[in-house]
Amino acid sequence: MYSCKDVSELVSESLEQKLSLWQRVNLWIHLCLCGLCWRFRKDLNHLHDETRQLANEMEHQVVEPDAKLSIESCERIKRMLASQQ
Amino acid sequence: MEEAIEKSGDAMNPATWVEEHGDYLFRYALSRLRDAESAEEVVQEMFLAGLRHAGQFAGRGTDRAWLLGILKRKIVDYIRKRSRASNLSTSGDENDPSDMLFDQTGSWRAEFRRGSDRPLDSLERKEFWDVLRKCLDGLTPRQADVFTLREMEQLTTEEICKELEISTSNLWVLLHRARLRLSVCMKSRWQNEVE
Repeated sequence: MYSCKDVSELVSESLEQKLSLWQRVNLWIHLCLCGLCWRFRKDLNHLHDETRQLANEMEHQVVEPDAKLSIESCERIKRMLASQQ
Repeated sequence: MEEAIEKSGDAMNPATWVEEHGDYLFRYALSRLRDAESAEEVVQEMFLAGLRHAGQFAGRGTDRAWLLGILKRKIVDYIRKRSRASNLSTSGDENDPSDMLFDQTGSWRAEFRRGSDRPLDSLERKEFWDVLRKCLDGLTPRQADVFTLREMEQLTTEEICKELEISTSNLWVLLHRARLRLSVCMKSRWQNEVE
């Protein structure tokens, strides 16, 4: 029988590779009996999905919308580019 | 030289790169590297590399997409370098949150048994990102970097192991610790801000 700690590791591992049948069956038995681990699994799956989705949406500037390259850096890079051309 | 001549008809225009794409690419780098200084350094390297390799630009797609491709490679290079530099003294990552979360029998400790916790998926998207950013700073740099490479840059396990010269099991341990810590941090931080 898996402990909650074992289950937390397996939930994380399941995001990286398919678990064996034995692992999946025992994981599900534990999850059905343990509300805390059930919720942990839900949280971890959400962390995984939402981070990936937000990372992909960078192209639409959903995150860090106010950050700007400093003026000094802009000028420095422009000078460097000009000198290399 | 041939490349340069071939290139001359295309729309690539390095003179306006910084104005048109600087902030956008900086934000991207900042979201992956977490501090402005590193992000500026990488963006600068990207522009210089872009100029050096402008001859290889196939003319398909935009300057921005092409520069972003270079930036993504530079970000991985940067993380690899800083990971190696920080890893010279310690062979592993000792920061295991398991003892904080689980008792000797492997059950959740009492403080994590509160029924009042709201699930992570009730966070608004904007909040989610803000809280994630803050909580990433609470991880060890190595945990935060592998999490970023895996979940934001979405590199494969094999790619990350190769770049950082670590074993698969080592990577999984780092990812698991990062996720454990993030899930706890994000819930409590969010809870505290709401209350």
